[in-house]
Amino acid sequence: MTDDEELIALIDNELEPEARARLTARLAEDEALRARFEALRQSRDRLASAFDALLDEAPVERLAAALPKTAPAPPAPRARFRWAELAAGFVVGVLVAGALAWFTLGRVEGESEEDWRAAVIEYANLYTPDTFAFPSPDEALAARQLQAVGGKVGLDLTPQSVATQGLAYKSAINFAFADKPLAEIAYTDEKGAPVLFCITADGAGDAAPRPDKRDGFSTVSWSRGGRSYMVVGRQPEDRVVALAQTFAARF
Amino acid sequence: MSEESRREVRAGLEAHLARLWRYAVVLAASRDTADDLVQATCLRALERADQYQPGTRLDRWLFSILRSIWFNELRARRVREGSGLVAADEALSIDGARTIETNVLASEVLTAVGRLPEAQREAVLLVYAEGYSYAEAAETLGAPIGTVMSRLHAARTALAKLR
Repeated sequence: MTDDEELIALIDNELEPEARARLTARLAEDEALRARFEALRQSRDRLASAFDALLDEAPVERLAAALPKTAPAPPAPRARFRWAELAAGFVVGVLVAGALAWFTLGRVEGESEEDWRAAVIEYANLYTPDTFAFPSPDEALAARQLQAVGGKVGLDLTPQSVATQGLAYKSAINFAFADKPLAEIAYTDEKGAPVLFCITADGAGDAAPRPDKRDGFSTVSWSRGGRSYMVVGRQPEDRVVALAQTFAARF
Repeated sequence: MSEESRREVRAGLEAHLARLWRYAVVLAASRDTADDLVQATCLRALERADQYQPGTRLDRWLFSILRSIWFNELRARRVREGSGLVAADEALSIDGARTIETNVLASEVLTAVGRLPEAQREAVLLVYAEGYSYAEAAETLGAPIGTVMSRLHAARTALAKLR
């Protein structure tokens, strides 16, 4: 591969670990290469922004009006996310390892229904593929974990009810946010990257699934029956949307 | 199962209209054709709703219908009708009347994308708009991953000449 091809693959997160390590080492030493990397990275951002802008141009109302009328469907969210809103880099969570013992993601100022999601994402920034590199628990242990967190948020969670294609169940943990129980069910995908399904009994009003992109994570959030939900992962948005569809239908 | 499929497809169509339109615009390099393509896709998707497996990726299923209609039907018809491909400069640039400061750059980028060969346009859309991995794009396009990488590289090189 030429330098440009390798740099493009690196920026697109498509380089194998060995090649990535070699190129990263070269970048550390080579200022011209770094400049080229930066130029290509910016060009990718411009491309992504331009496609976002094109999405905004879509004449959705006109197209929707042309759809054949059937039985009224629930209001559908517009599935879109914005590459341009990706944070410039990692926001390292303020949740330091020593604080893990008490597992309470509390916020002092400006607590709102939204902040629990921000707290989850801040914490998720600390995750790496190593975080969940242990084998999936056996069914009996998984059932106990899920029953414990399910009990807190008032749902009957079982290994079957949280299972989904392509993801390996890893753990279910009880958190609390603003004194409300928050369940975090963690999976890993084929590459070992964490995907989280969070449930909190926050008493929020119903809200239709809404995709979003924060800190490089794709998320889908919704609320129903006095609980709020969020699927989070460094995944293509459509995968997270599909997961959210599946879970929203079950719970 | 069938009623559930229909409901999911109907709801999913509304949710994915904007992305379907964007895909159609880039594929056809024309906004006018995009409208036709999206409408044809919606009709076909509803007709074939039974073939959709609930819980699987609806957007990918819809995209495959859109591609199929474009490549097997609409594209040839446009050539036969003599309309050919709309001048790329106009096709993909943002509507001038609504261009605001921040979108001038986007407009230039999209115009440049419109000038790319069709195969490169589609590869760029899949990876940089829809967030497909190289492997997923290769599978969708029915091309080897190396070919996809070449198309992306060629497109990125051409686009880099903008400024």
